Amino acid sequence: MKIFFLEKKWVIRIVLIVWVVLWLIFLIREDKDDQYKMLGYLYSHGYNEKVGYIVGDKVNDLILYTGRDMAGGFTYDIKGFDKFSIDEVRARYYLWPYIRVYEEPDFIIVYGSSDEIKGYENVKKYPGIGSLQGRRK
Amino acid sequence: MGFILAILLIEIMGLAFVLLAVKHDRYEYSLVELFSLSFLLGLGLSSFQLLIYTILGIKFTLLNIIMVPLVLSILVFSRYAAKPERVRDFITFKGKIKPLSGVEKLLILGIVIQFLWVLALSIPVPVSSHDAVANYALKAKIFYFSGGVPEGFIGWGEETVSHPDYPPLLSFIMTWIYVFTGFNDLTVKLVMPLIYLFFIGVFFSSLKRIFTRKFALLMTFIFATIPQLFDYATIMYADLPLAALVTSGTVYFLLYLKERRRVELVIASLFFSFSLLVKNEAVVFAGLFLFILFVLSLRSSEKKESFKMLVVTLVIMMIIAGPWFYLRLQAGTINSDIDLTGITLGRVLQNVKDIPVFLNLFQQEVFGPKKWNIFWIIFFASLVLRWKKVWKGECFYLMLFITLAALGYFTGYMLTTGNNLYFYVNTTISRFMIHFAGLAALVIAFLTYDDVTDLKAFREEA
Repeated sequence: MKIFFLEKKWVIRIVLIVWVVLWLIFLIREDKDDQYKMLGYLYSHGYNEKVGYIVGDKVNDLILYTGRDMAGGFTYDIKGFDKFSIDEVRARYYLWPYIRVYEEPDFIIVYGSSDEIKGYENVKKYPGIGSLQGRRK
Repeated sequence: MGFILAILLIEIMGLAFVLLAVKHDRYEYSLVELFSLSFLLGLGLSSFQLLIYTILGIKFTLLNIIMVPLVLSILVFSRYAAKPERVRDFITFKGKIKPLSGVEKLLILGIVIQFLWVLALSIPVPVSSHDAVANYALKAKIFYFSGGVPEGFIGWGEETVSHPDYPPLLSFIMTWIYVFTGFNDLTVKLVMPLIYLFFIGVFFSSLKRIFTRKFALLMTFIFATIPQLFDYATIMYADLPLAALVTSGTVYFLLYLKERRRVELVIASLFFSFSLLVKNEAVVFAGLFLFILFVLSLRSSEKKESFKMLVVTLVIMMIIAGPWFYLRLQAGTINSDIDLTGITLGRVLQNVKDIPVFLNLFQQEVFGPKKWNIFWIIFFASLVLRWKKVWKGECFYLMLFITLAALGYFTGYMLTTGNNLYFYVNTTISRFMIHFAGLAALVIAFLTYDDVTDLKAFREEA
């Protein structure tokens, strides 16, 4: 039997060869995220460095510093990221057990700014990264 | 070590079910099927355990968690200790295993390389992808550090955790592992390659029941090497587990239709029930499964037996998924993507107008080799070239299932209200197509079996 102008068995063989070639190409090719460099780094570093590499230095520092400095409170809001962006949800993940809320948080984390938000005052400024602001007493 | 123990207990949960319940029907299974089936069932059973603990207010402690697998292990042990001759029944396959041909060895090598690659990509990367940290992994972290699901959790705000009302299976599995490993979001990711491995194990062993081993291996190789499928085995998203449960449920349903063994329908019912604990989209597949079973019962010449099995299926689904829907109803949650009050004629018409956007993104998936190789091209080409076979035999039920499920997803898209259609389709279509990939691979298998086995390399020698 012929499919278009080719014998069926040749069509099947070609399909299988194309499959294997494309499989190997997409399996081993370097993707846009520079995956081999990333894997090399991740395999040779500890957990904190891995997180830092994945999250990015600035966001990672913000998480580390604010996580350390939010003593005396349980809730926070975070500003300076796009709503539900990857940076925002990563910060929320790493900052747990501090709970992110919209209404009357104990702290506001501001990424990329230390301008005080109404009702809050700077607790800590992280030059080049952002600030942690606590509710005014 | 903790991770291995956690996985072992998941395996034991499923294994106990297979050894205690399935064997009564003299169901013949290979070791690959036994362990793969047990693991996938174990995923569902262990999540179900934590779901029941949540309702009963039992803490997720090590002792509480190992209690159920321990009791099951004792039951299995006593069954075999009482009658040691039964140990021989552990492996029900009594035939002689044929040696592997060169082609089969190559295909297995390909699958092994693929699995090792998935492992290599998973091992060094902590949980970091968007939905994982926004939803599944954050929930698991909360459950682990709270010793269970906190009071009122399902009603929490989106700013605190994304979609707290989403089905909990993946988060529960992660929590289960954390109880043994401590909080370690590097190790926990290794469960995804295992889900991938056992998924293709079930896929292969069920295909082997229908087709020859060589052809089953070929189809398994093709399925396992779909880039989108193995990519999702490296991140903590619920799409791969959903695909695994829905595909396994469908394939056991097909086996039931073929052999009419009750146990296969029970396994299918369990898989569809567990799928409801993975993602909301499972409602489409589980609903269709029930619908097709109901229609078959109406048309059956043995109505009494068919309706009895329909009732058994309904009871299983209510027992497994009922508690989850009960929890959700209690919390009075609403879906943020499909707001019933926001569905107006104008909104639906706007979505209908945007159908070309949907079609454009769909064709990008079908023809884009980066995510799918030429999988969907093979699928659609098979439908066109073997159209006479499409609506016959087992393929009929598969096609009915795929067509109605696709219509269900399409309707879901048309009813979205929270954002524009482009946003939803663009962010979900490549993931949603994973849910259908296993079913499509089965269709390809049914349609191309005769043609492929005409080739000498794939012909099974007697």
